[in-house]
Amino acid sequence: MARKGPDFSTPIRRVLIALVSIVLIALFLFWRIDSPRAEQMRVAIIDRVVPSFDWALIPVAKVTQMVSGFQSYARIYEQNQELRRELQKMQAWKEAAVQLEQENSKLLAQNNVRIDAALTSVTGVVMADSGSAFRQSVLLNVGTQDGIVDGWATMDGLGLVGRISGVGQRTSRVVLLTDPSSRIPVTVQPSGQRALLTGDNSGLPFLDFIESPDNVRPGDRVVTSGDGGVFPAGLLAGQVALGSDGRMRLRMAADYGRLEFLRVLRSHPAEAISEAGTLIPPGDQGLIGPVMPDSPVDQAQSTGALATGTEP
Amino acid sequence: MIDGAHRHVVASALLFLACEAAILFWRLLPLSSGFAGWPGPDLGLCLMFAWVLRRPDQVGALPIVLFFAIEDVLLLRPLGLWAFFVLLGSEAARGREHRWRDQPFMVEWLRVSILIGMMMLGYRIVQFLFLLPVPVLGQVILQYLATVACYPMVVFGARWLIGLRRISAAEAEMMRHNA
Repeated sequence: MARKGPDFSTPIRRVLIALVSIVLIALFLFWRIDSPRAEQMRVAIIDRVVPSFDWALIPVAKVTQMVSGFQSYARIYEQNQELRRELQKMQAWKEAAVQLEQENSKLLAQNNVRIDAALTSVTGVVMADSGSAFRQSVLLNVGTQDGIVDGWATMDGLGLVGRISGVGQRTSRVVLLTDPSSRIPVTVQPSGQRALLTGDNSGLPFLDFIESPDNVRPGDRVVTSGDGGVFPAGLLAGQVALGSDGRMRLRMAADYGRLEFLRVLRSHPAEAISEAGTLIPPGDQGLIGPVMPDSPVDQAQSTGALATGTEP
Repeated sequence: MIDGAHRHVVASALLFLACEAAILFWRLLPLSSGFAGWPGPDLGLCLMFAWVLRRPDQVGALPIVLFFAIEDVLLLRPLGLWAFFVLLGSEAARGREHRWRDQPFMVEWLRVSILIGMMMLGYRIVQFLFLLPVPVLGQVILQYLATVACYPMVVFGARWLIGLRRISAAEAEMMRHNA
């Protein structure tokens, strides 16, 4: 090519590109230096942007799930008919049997989900994915206006899903157990071993820092331990499984393939620090530390011991 | 004439943004949430390169930066960093577009894949330098391979759906006169 195109090398364009680059680098440095504030900005933007697509996100997701779940609408229709027939059969059952089954299933659920009675929950709908291949999180449609607080545990019907990290006015982000930054203290149940459940962006997060790995076997139950006081104890996380790399991994109890409605557990407020309070004396008492002894000279002067009668 | 062409450029920049937004929207849908499988391809990046290498006059640096900065915010990436590398990559492609124009598609594919690889490498190096948590190398490589493999599909898809094709020599000549 003898001549370059119209806007390839005009100096103004180059200056503008350099300016934009500098702005982007400055943005990155700002994010790196003042990460909490930048993340707050990010949450605020997501909080503003994503719910405005709510009308499209949820129906499209639902439709796609339906389409991918069933091969065709005809099949859905058949299944619907089948279900109707089964429903009629169900209604023919004896009332007592139904009641018994309900009670049984309720008991089973209670058996599996050992939630502290004091824990109540807020249920939210999964609105959006993290969208990124290297972050595992979902966006819920509940936020500060529903009383959600950072750090609360999130479960689906059965097991632990993740924890809240980042709360906006109307949305909150749940970092899943599979996220590389997720660390949850857990207990492996029959043996009582403590471990740290660490996500690594694969389907099965692994158990790190097991005290004695010999006591942990595949199939053991894993529940949260509540160590550190940030996470409620006793929430079912899943079962131990031996990964193909020889590591102890967790097969999650929560149905990760179908995260639709999540329950955010209202945790108790973090324990107040009681010990440090006693260290600080009440009121303004000046400097903390050993008190200076009274000057012996002043003492002597006040008692008149220094008055030797030499003054004129 | 110039006014009409200008309006056309603005319209096509909007079309570019709309396509990218649709791809981003699709990624944000909670379809496979929780399932950590293979990291999928970065279709937005493929579309950007396809567009820049076909109609560099239609999509300026500003729409690209704007979109990828928004993507940084929404996809929980370090703010501005990937957008910066995308800007560098798109400018590199734009500057060489007139030389690559007459070559077969395989060569373009190879060059785009090298460019994407260099962008990802630079991104990773900066992540290391700033002590950021880096994703596992194997998954990044998988994503790279998926992205490169999807590039022809994105090119043909864009050609079918929105008629994105290379400008002919005559058209290029006409644009130069207008500019």
